[in-house]
Amino acid sequence: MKVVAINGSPKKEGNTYHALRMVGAQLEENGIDFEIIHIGNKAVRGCLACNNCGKNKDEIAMIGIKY
Amino acid sequence: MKNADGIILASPVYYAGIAGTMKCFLDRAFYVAGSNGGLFRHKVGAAVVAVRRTGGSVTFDSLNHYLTHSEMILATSNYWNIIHGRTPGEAEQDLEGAQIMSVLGNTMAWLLKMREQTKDTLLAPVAVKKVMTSFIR
Repeated sequence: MKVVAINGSPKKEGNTYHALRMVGAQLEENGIDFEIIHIGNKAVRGCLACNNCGKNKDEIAMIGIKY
Repeated sequence: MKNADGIILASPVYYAGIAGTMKCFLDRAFYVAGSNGGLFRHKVGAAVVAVRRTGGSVTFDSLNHYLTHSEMILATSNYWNIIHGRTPGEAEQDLEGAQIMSVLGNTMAWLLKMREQTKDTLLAPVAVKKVMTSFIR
């Protein structure tokens, strides 16, 4: 089993990261894989509500490369 | 996120809300998940917030809006999942915050195990086609 954590802080190892490590430590102790994905320092544009992700069943729109 | 059994959404507090880039990402991610047949449906979810002073519970509520909109299973703790600190790492000194995170991790692990152990014996509710109105039509 696996848990992914989205770190929405622009800072890589700020207090949001530390909070996630505390949660992750318990998950790992219970044998669950834990991975932090750092999003807060990426260039992600606001959703344009174009619905192209819906029409094209396009998952890459999550990070906004195409739209 | 699509392949995970559990998802944690974590944000610092910017002007009493979710940090901008994170908000952009969540709007996109959950819109995409919804329009691709509910990618996050029945995954275990939790929100985590780091804050210097105030705006923690507002941000926590905002993060929970994404999870509770997606038929996810919500893991909770013994308080709202908020930790305090200013400089990086200062949150380690927030002993209550640290306990909240620790209890959250254990509860989340328990829910994940429960979900795994009952997947063949307890059928999940079937997805319904979503009704979409603007209240009047």
